[in-house]
Amino acid sequence: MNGLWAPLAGVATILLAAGAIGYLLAVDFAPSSCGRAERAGWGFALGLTLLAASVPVAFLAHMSPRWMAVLLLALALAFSLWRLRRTRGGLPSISNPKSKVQNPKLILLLLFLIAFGVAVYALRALTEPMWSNDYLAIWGFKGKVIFSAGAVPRRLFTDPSLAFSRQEYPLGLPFLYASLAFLLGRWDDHAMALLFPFLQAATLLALAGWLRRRGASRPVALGSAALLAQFEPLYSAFHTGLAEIPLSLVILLFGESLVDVLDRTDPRAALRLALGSVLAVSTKNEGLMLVAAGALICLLSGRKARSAFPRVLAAAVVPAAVLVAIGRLWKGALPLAAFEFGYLGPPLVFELLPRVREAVHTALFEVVLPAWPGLLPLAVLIAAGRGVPAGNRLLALALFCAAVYMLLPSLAVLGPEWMIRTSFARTTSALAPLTAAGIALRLGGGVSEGVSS
Amino acid sequence: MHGTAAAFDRQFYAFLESSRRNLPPGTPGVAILGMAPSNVALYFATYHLAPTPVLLAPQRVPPGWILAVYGTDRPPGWKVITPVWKGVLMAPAS
Repeated sequence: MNGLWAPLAGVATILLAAGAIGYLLAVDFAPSSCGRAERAGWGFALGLTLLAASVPVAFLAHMSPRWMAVLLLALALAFSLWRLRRTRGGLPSISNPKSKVQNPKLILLLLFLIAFGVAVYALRALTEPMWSNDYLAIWGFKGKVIFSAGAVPRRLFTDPSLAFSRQEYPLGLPFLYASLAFLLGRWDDHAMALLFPFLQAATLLALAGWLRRRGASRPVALGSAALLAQFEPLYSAFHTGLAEIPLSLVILLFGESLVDVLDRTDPRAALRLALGSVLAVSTKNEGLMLVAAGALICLLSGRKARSAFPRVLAAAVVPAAVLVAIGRLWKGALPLAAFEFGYLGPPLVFELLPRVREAVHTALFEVVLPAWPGLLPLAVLIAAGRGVPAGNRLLALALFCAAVYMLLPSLAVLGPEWMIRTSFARTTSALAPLTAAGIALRLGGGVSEGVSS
Repeated sequence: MHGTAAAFDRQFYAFLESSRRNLPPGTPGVAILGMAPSNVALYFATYHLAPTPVLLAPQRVPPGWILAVYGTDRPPGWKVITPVWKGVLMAPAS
């Protein structure tokens, strides 16, 4: 066991340092009314963004990736301290008018359940090195190549024998793995699994903290985090190493910041939306779908929210489009190898309807219906909630993404049935934090902060 | 061997790790024989030997590549460079 503890402590130190620096940096992203929990969630996302970005920046600057990561974190720390000194008085004070604890025993129970969920997932994640097929074939493989080669070899995008590695996928997570390995000084796919319980904790913080800011009571906010913490379909050993857990945090941050922009909660909401958008398209291809869904939801909203469309366009769509364009220029035009878009036009279009039917049938009878013991209470909770616009929009975003995850396999090269069986449950599980936020807000939140100066 | 996913097939993993440690510097790629071809075996081998390119049970071995043979088979036209765990590394005989 001696071989595990040292790298594990190393990864923990890196993640804590990045999270702490991100927490300070998050002052410029979060609204002044933001609590410590929400700021910590954003802070961890910011810290990881710096780590992942350090790798391509180092390659471009012909610098050591390890020292580039240290430099970026040091610059972020210096900038944060300078900003805090300029605003006099350190971190903004946390004031929450609803922070009086009504039922301390219930709060303690919910905090215990959250800690229990994180501890159980940490055990699942750290019992053995990351092993899932998609980790070995895609995310871990690319990270290891980048770390071992000290570069991004062109063959990652051009070698036909590597088609299984999904050459068109974004490199955000592989860059993050490589950055951790550069800082650690070795590739250790056991210790690096610690990233995932940290991501779970950041998701829970971002969820509970945002709900509190948006008016949810402490029991509702902590209760939703406690339920999410136990959600094994997402926080599983199999998902450790894959993009779903990082994406679930990103989807939550994107959704929260989107409804903040639509509700005009604070002037920094657009900045958060831009970061959410960039992280979404850097993590998985469907990040672009998420951004498009966000824009669509804005357009379908009421007149007041719809008037925020130019801000959504500027903050979400433009950064995503720019990043995708940069990726296309760098990697070349890589088709989505798993899909045949010919089914959308003649002559294959006549085969589309049976394929859609096959996808929906498989999803309903092999994934949705067997999950009824979990989905039924979910439906009851949704029905029990009030029609809070922000909560409705989060649920609409989740529903839109779930519908796409169900219908897109109609175009799968290996057949709709195969893709639904191998990916539908996995991909939709990443919508759990967003769904939890929407349900909780409808149950006990929805107080809009209005426009702040 | 700490810190590496080996659960798929621990013997095959030991063979891959032993091969990796014994690869001549600058090896452009490794073709693996003796392991039943499957997606899982290919992902496993490609991951563990990264960044060196890998082919599993290929029809033809690209020029300059090393052959990593898992098991006791010894294909004709190739000479043993070095023994590895439960196999050998080979190069063209001529």
